[in-house]
Amino acid sequence: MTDNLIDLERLQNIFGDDHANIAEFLQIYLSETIQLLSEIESAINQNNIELSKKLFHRLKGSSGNSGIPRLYELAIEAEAAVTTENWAQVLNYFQMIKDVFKQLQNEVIKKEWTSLNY
Amino acid sequence: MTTIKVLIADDDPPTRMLLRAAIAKWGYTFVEASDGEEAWQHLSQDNPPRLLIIDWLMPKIDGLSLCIRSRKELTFQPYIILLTQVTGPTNLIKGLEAGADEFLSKPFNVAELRSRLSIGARLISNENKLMEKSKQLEMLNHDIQSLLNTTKKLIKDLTTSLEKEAIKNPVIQQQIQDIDSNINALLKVI
Repeated sequence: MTDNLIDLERLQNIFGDDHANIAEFLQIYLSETIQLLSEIESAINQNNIELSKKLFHRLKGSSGNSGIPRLYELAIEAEAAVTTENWAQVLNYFQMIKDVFKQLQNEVIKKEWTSLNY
Repeated sequence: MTTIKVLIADDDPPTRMLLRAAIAKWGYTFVEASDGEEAWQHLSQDNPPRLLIIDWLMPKIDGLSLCIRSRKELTFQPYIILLTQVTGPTNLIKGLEAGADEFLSKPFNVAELRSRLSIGARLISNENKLMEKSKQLEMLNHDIQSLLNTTKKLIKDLTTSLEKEAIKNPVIQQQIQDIDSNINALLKVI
């Protein structure tokens, strides 16, 4: 499992050293993902395989592109669990995703975007 | 290369933001679409984007259908990079047959995206040069045709004048006929 919540190197590679842009980007990622997690929760509650798979797939793509490796990895596992219809495992992964997401929110809030160190 | 317009078509806002930041940094201009229908609107307008980064899974019109439609209905041939998490040779073939030029796996590698875009930009730039040369040749062709037609008319006038003057020199007559048939042959070639 990847240690860092945010792959800052990837984001710096794209946005340069302008941390205001990175901060703005992470806010957009967080707000989109809150919405996505709520849709996933609803799909899981309905045991809707197709929709759950599609939404975890979206979370995987968005998190992978956005340099959020832990959520990316968990979304891969969750998607695979949906495919095998192992709902207990799906719920377990979803809980882990929510926990990591909370950590990420805190990290983004507390981070001082004036320093290059992460 | 810097003036080439890129279309970013992806329903994920963070991915679009990353793509536009990278693309702008590399000197391209861009337009964005959050679904396939919006992407098609951009392609149907004047001065459309020539380089396309499109997501396979998108609402309304998916990336694959957009490729097929582009190849079928557009008067120009854009360079299409299909951005996808869909993997495996079967899907790769499906994408290529639909008209994609390149694939880029999600999460996309920034350096790879840059390289693929520059390949597309180089091809488009060569295509533009070729079109420019073709236009120049067409103009040149037109000019030569005009000159030949004028010359043909001059020969006809000269023949009439010679006949009027009752100069029946068979050598001159033959030379005029030869020039005339050469011009006709040239006009046929052009």
